Amino acid sequence: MEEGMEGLEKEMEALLASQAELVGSLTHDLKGLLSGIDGGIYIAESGFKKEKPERITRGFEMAKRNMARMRIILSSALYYVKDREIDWQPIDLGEMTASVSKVLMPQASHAGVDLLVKSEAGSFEGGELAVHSLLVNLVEYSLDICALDKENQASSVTLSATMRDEHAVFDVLAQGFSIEEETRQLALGDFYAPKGVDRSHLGLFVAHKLAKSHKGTLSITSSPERGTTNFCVRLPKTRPSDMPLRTDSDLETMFGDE
Amino acid sequence: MTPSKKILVIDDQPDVVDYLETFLSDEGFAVITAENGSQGLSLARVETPDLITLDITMPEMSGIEVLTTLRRDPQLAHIPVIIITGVADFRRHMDYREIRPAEGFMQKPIDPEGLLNSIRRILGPAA
Repeated sequence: MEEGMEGLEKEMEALLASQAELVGSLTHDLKGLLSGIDGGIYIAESGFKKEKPERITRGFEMAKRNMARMRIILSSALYYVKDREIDWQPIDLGEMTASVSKVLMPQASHAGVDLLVKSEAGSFEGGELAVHSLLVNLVEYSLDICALDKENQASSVTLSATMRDEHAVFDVLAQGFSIEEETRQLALGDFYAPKGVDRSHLGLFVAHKLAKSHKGTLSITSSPERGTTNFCVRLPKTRPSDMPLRTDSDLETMFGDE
Repeated sequence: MTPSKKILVIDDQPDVVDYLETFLSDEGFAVITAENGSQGLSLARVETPDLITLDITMPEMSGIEVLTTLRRDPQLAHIPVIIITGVADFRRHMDYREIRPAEGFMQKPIDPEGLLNSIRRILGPAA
């Protein structure tokens, strides 16, 4: 029993530390985005006052862009802090990829990164909002990292979708960066852990969590030689009948020998 | 006519740079910008700005490293620096025993009037 308590204590400590790191990381990111929104409003307003139409457009685009990113970050945070019941419904591959592309095309354009979408016909069962958030996080992360490498003129992100072996398979192929092994492991870990002061990979961590919630998988492969990274999500075509719900039964299993 | 005071803005977020460049230009300052620490240091050596605004969290070279380099360069050590950052407890990352601290600190989201007041406090009311 003592070993079980010790194990639970360590798990709780790790979880609390992870939550604290998350709050710090989120706070930092949100402050930057608020600055972007304030900046957009200032530039648009000054455009009106000084009768400079270019400023009006630039300012509104800046405000919208930062608000969209804030929505993505807050959505990720909400999915991280609370497991949500999946609202299972049919999802069309083409509609889903088109929706994700629509959300992120402004960011891609601003970053100067090509965002391409390829989808085959097909559908599967899943939580529409959860899957949408999952894919948005993967594509947004890829766009962000590609944009950091300004010297790479050929950077692009391709979102593709297909049905294969009774699974919906989404690939996000980023040409323009290779992911570090440490980041890959942190993204696929059990707890969120920011990596120093580098760009938050919360989105990758949440994407992995959302894939798991569907009894699916997220795999990340990267080639430093080619400068590419591929995020591959596989989700069951139909709702798994044996998918466990997160209940107190997890604690019962831990103390089952008492 | 008194030449405009020159401000160097160093921040890796393009929208923040655009915001500060536009706002400070509207307030009569000559603004130059850098999107990372290395570029900022190079520009500082060439342009010798009257003041630098400096982000902390930047890839490759953090704002703390930039400030340390500025303070240790005889050509640049005199330039006042205002740190503008989203890091809540950034001061614990600095060792004031080694270098002169920044002349101003501001938290993001940016308070433009507060920034203006800090700049005028440092450069003088005529700035």
